Amino acid sequence: MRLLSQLKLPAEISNLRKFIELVSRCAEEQGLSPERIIEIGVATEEVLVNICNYAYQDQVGEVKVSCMLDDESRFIIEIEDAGIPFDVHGLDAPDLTDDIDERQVGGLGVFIIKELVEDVQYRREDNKNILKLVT
Amino acid sequence: MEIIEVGKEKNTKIVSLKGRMDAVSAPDFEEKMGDWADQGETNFIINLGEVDYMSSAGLRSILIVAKNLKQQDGKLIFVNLREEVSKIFRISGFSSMIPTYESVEIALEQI
Repeated sequence: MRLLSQLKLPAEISNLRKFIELVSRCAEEQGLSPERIIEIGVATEEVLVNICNYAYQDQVGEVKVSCMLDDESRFIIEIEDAGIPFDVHGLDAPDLTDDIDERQVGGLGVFIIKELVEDVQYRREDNKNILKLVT
Repeated sequence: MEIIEVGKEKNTKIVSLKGRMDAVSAPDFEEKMGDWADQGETNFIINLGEVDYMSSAGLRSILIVAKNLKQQDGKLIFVNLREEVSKIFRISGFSSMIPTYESVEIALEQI
């Protein structure tokens, strides 16, 4: 695994675009297509928004985003927080009904992550959530 | 993200969005649409031709606005979706829930 770039900032929505810019720039340097860079940005945003909204509850914690290349030269984004344990694999599938009145607001973020990346790997290590997006 | 009023035809407000519709900008869209609805505007055609980035925060705001307008017998139509945004609409089931057309002109013919 080779580290390309890394950024650690308070887990706040106001920092979201700084993380997405970093991931997009790294992906661009690896020669990914503009469409793919947007998809990777959206997937990363979905993870970060969950962390900003739920990981730390009352206090402000930090989140670290690392862009890496694995041994098979796949572009990897690793997102680490020290908040409450949260494994995206534990969530139910969202309600995708096409009736506007019936449709529930929310619940799409994790579903979108899984649709946009090849693999999502979660581990809990040293009281941290580490989510790895394999693109 | 910029929210630009383009005009009004067939009692429908035509609006263009420009930029990224993410967790930072989606609340602005929701607020602006809410303000217009409060002023009695309930029919909208939204041109997404210059939006290349849409996350679930954007979808969330769109659904909230769509629910609100439907309660007022209004219309919310999106046109000119780029492939990146169209894909997000498809995978989340929005393309079968919210009307989308290729252009403002085609949407106006359907109203």
